[in-house]
Amino acid sequence: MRILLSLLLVLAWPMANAQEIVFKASVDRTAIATGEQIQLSIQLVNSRERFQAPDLGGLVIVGGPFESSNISYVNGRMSSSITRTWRLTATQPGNYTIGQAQVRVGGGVITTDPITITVSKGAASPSDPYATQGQRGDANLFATITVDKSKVRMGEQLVATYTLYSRYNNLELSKYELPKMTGFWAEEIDLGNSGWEPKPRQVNGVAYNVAVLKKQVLFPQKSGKLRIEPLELTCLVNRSFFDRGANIPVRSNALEITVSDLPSPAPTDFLGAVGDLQLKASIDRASVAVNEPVQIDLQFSGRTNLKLLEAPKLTLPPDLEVFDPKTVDKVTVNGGGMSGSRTFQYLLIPRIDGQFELPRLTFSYFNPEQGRYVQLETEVFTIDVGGAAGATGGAATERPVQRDVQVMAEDIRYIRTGDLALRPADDALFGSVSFWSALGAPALAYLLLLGWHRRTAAQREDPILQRRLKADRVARKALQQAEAALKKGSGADFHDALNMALRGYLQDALTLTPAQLDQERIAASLSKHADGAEVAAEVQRILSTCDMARFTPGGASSDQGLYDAAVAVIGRMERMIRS
Amino acid sequence: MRNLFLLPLVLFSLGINATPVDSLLRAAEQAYAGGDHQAALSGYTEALSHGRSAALLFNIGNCHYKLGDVALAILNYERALKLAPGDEDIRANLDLARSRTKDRVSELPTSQVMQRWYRFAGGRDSDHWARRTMFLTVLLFAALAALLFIRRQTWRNIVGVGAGVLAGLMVIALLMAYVRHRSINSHDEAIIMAPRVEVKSEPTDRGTVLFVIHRGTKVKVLQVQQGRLEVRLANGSQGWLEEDQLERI
Repeated sequence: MRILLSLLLVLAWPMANAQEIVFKASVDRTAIATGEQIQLSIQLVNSRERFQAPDLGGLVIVGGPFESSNISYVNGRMSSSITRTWRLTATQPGNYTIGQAQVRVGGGVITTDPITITVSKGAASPSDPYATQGQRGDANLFATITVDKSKVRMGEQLVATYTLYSRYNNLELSKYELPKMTGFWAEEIDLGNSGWEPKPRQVNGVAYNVAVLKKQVLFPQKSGKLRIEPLELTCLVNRSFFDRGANIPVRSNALEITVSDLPSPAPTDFLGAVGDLQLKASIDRASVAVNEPVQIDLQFSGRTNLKLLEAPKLTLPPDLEVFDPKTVDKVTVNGGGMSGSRTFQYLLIPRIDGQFELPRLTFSYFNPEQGRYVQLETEVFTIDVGGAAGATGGAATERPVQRDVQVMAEDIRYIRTGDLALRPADDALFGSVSFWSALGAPALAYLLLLGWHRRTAAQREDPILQRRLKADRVARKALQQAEAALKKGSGADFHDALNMALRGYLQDALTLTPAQLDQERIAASLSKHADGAEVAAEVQRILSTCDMARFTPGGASSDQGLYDAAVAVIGRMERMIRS
Repeated sequence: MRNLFLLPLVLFSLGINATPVDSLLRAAEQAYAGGDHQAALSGYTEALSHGRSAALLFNIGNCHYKLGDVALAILNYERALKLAPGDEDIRANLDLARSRTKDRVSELPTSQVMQRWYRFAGGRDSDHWARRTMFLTVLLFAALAALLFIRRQTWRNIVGVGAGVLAGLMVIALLMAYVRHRSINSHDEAIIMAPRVEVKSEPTDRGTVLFVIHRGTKVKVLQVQQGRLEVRLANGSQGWLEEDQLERI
């Protein structure tokens, strides 16, 4: 029976060769949406030749080729067929043409007909645009850089992920270089022992093995458009015992991050922290002895670039010595960014006893979610500093270390209060009438005084005038003597004094020498005045009366009438000469 | 004699007390103390229409400083300083305000020696030198008059030398009074009020930009042409800018 079957086969072979050879391509449908799959089958009937897949015109092979062969006997005639099947998909909408497949049979070539596939846009396309873009470059192997935010504030953290997509079964990274970051502070996220993700990821309907190569937390340090350069790497694929494999260069997309400035003006206690922060301040004890340390902890916790957080400066009363703070970090960097806490431990040493109030510390950070500055503040701590530990009462003899008074801040001096002594703007003493008159008045007064003084001086210089001016005064003096004699009742002295007075007056007033005192000269000198002759006669009468009395033996009695006459005549003469 | 000249001043300030200006000043003072610098500023500015003084301008400067306008603070301090060049408070605040301007061309902070000179040259108030001149004039002529009557040679010598010294002092005081009067009434210095001013080489739009100065910088006005001013900075740089970019002191 077995022999018979073999025989039949041998007999049938030439017959089978004579069968018609069919080569055709078919698809299960010609219109799909992106991400959906079609099945391409190419069937070769009655031939055992190998054939290759046609040009797929941009469609991506998702699965296949799967091969099936089939031999059938129909009415004693054997026919065989080989069918190769591919599952294809399209990542982009458009028209695709599956080219002609060729097979050599005998001396000729048989081709299939081209097939046109219409791909419309899929309903939902959740695929990453960067992956789509990478897929368009090389559908089998590409890399992407993605960020969780592309518009950030300065200092706000963002996470960049570097991902490799591959459809090769066997892949080794032979060279790989992270892009250089300019304008960013980058902090690597520890991914642990990561390799290919266990589940393949679909990109536009195509499944890829995915490996996250690296994740970084980025903090932009300047505003503007910052560019993340592409990731470049080289992969060695399909290496096996039999094959040396192929090196494929991969270049990812580049990214542009828009970094906007923080709103201005920033609060004065803003030190550059951006994110979400809490502040907790604590003090280890509230009462110490002099020179014993106190520790103040400032704990900042939350999500921000904690590693760049600077220690805020404590404004402390001058007699507290403060040391540079110790920094204790509990920072984790993971897919969510950088978070944790940073604690500044300040050591204070009070140098003088007393009660110290540590001022409230304020700290501002920018919260990008709320888009505003948030101010944190600590409570006010009070430290009670007692006397020096172990003080023995010798403190008074110890000299404290003197230091300069510290200037803590500068500010303007306070306003003037009370009466501001307002005056009209044009009210100036200089140049005013009162100013010039106050200068002129003393000068004028002086000039008047000077004129008067000059005149009196000139008079003093003239002896005759002086004599005449003094005549009256001299005569009065002499008359006083006469009056005294009159009261005493001494007749001789009286007439003597009266004579002297009158003669002296005549000499001074008329500018005559004693020898010139005769009747004619006196009359002549007085004649130019009215009543001159009468006065001269009177003078003559008094003089002769005096002479007579003087030479009367035994002396004449004093005479009130004569005295009065002498006074009267001197007065008359004085008036005459003055006029 | 001196008190006699002060008398009109005293009467004048008594007259002020009777007006509402005094209550205006008191309200502004309280507003400032309470931190309401805006209210204090408007109060003091209103008081300025009733009269001026170095103290009032100083207070206005302080309000502007507290409100963050350094340039207006400088302007008012400079105006106050013109009335009272010897006032240390005004000078201290002016130095502080100047240190907060953008341009560092301005003068050095005042030294002790200069402060003494300013205090001497400024006098107690703007009329101080005028009053000194008047006082010295009276003394001088009194001494000259005394010379007419003094006979003893020793006293004549003493009074004569005294009169000579008085005459010298009087001339100096008159000069100082004149200089003070001139400086109070001259307005050739100014403060830049525009945020940014390009100083050009010519009084036209075509001029080359020589340098850029900012709000709060003090300049000296040299001349005016075609509505533009030639100014000089404290460091000697010179150029042209527009009238509305500055405010005269």
